Amino acid sequence: MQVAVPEVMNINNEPEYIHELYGTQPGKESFANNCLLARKLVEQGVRFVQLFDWGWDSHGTGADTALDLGFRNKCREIDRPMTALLLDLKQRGLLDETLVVWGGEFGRTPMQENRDNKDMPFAGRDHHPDAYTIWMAGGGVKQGVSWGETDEIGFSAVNGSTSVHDVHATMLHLLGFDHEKFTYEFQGRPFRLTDVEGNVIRALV
Amino acid sequence: MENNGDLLLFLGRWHPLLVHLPIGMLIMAFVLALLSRKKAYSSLAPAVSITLLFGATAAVVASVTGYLLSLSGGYDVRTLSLHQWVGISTALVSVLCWLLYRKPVDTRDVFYRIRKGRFAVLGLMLALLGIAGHFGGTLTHGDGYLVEALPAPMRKLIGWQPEVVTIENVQEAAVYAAIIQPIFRQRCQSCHGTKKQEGELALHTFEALIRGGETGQAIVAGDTLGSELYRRLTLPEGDEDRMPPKGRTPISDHQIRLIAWWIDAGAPNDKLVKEMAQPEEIQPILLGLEGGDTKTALGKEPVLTYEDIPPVKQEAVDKLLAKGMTVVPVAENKNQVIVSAINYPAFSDGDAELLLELGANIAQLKLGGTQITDAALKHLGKLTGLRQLHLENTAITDEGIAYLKDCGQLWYLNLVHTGVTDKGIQVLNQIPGLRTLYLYETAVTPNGIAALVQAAPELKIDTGNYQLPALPSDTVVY
Repeated sequence: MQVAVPEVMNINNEPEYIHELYGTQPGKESFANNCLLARKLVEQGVRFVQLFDWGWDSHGTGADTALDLGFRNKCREIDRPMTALLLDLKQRGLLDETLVVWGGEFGRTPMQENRDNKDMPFAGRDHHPDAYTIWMAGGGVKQGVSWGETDEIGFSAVNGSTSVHDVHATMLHLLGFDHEKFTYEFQGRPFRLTDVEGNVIRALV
Repeated sequence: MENNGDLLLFLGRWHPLLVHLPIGMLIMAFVLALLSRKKAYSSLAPAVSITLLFGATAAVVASVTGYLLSLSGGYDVRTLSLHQWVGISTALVSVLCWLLYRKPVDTRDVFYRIRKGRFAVLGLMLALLGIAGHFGGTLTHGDGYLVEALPAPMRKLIGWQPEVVTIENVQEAAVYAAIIQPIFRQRCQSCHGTKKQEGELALHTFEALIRGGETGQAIVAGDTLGSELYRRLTLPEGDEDRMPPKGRTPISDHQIRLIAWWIDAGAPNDKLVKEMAQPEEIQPILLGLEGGDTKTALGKEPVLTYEDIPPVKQEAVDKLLAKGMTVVPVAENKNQVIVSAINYPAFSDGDAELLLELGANIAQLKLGGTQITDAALKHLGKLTGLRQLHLENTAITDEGIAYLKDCGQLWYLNLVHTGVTDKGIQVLNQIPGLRTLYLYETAVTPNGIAALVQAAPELKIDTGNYQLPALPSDTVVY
């Protein structure tokens, strides 16, 4: 690994148009660089890559977490690289067998957060676990399908709501695992990754 | 209809419970009789007759309750009559066994005089018991319940094939008569047919289905989710209202999808399959009904199937593993394998010969980024089971891919960053199943692509080089 990793981690030798596609700047810390790195890792057969991105806790307590300021900057920073990652995987024939999942562990309320009953200086939104969106691409997932609906303001799921176990069951299905049979031993008994719940969302596969 | 209950039926419903008593006791009696024939266990002999007495009594009780249960109907007539008569015979023979084994009243006792062959009679009783038990299981769980669970190779050994209704040409078949009605016949009509109409519902004719049952309409044409029948089929397991009820052969996911598709289309009585809209997810299921070749019938994405073939030779696999290759099966219970050189970039032309020993078992081969040249492809052309082939980032050229024309099952080919040109790729139109071709970073030009697409219209070619146009907002920082 010590021999192979420096070569894989180095994005300097990528051609100029690839840097343009992703919007990468070698040496700079950015989500774009991570996306390009992700492609290089997948290309080398790495089985799981997680790209972590920070700064999305948009409560509106300051300019960097305001919906009309910092949040828009965050969106701009990831929009191009994540599109580029999908395109780059696709043109190399890797997207067919790579499942790309974009999401977070919760969403935000559709209405503005005013902490302690005071108008906050910036527009922000609080944590909200009841209704939010994730997307998946590649790896056997059906194209151009959306699943589930919220009410008009996006506060509650009114249709097709799924649990995290359903999402996990679906992801495992796409990776070729039967989530009811795939177990690991822990504390003396086999455990499932989906606990005792979860159904594959058939409309997506 | 008010349910007034039925004392006889109530007694009959004890049958599935009571029937296990004679099974255990009579087997025990046989074991005791067998052991007591040995000197060391001869002290067990007196226990045989009392065990037989209990077993025979239980068998008679089970027979009576079984008969009461059979009066309610709802079972397959042929299996039921077999189960019934073999069961009654078992009870009678077990009584005979008891008469033969009990302590004789006196030496003139007729049973005492013919007791010489009593162990053989006991053996006969055991055989009848097994047969009756088997048919009983078939009645509650459906035909083939036992063998279905047998691993495929063993199933083959005993020559059992799952019963599949195949349709020669599914597009020409009548949707209701050839596809939907057989599902009802197979799974529903024992309780909702001519013999019985549970919930006042019968499904043996189209008119009866439309009429519905006790709770109203069974199906609402065009509205699957509003149809009681569909709701019952898709209730969670364990729900009281779920159909078919617990203990009966469940209806398969594919069958449920077919029913939903048919109801959504307005539940037509007389349409042919080809007259119906066929959503993507229904196509493979329809093709599956034909049983045979699912590849070409609709000219759409091939449905990947892996036929049953002999397993790979372990020595051949070991040789590859020793080199640092990975070899994994494509799926559980399949003998086709995925072979990858991802951890052995030094893979070269000489190594390609090792692959030949795995032959048609190789379904996916990943040789991207290795040292191979055209010489290796001469060998790969002999791997007739290949479905997916990764040759990206290698030094292969037109000369090499000419060998691939014999890989008739190939549907995915990755030639990213290789030496192929317009001229060389034309040979690929000779592979009928090829659907996906990657040609990013090659010398192939739009002219070459156009020529190939003309010859192979279903082939999807990706030449990459995607651009993302710069948007004005890309540079705005808030």
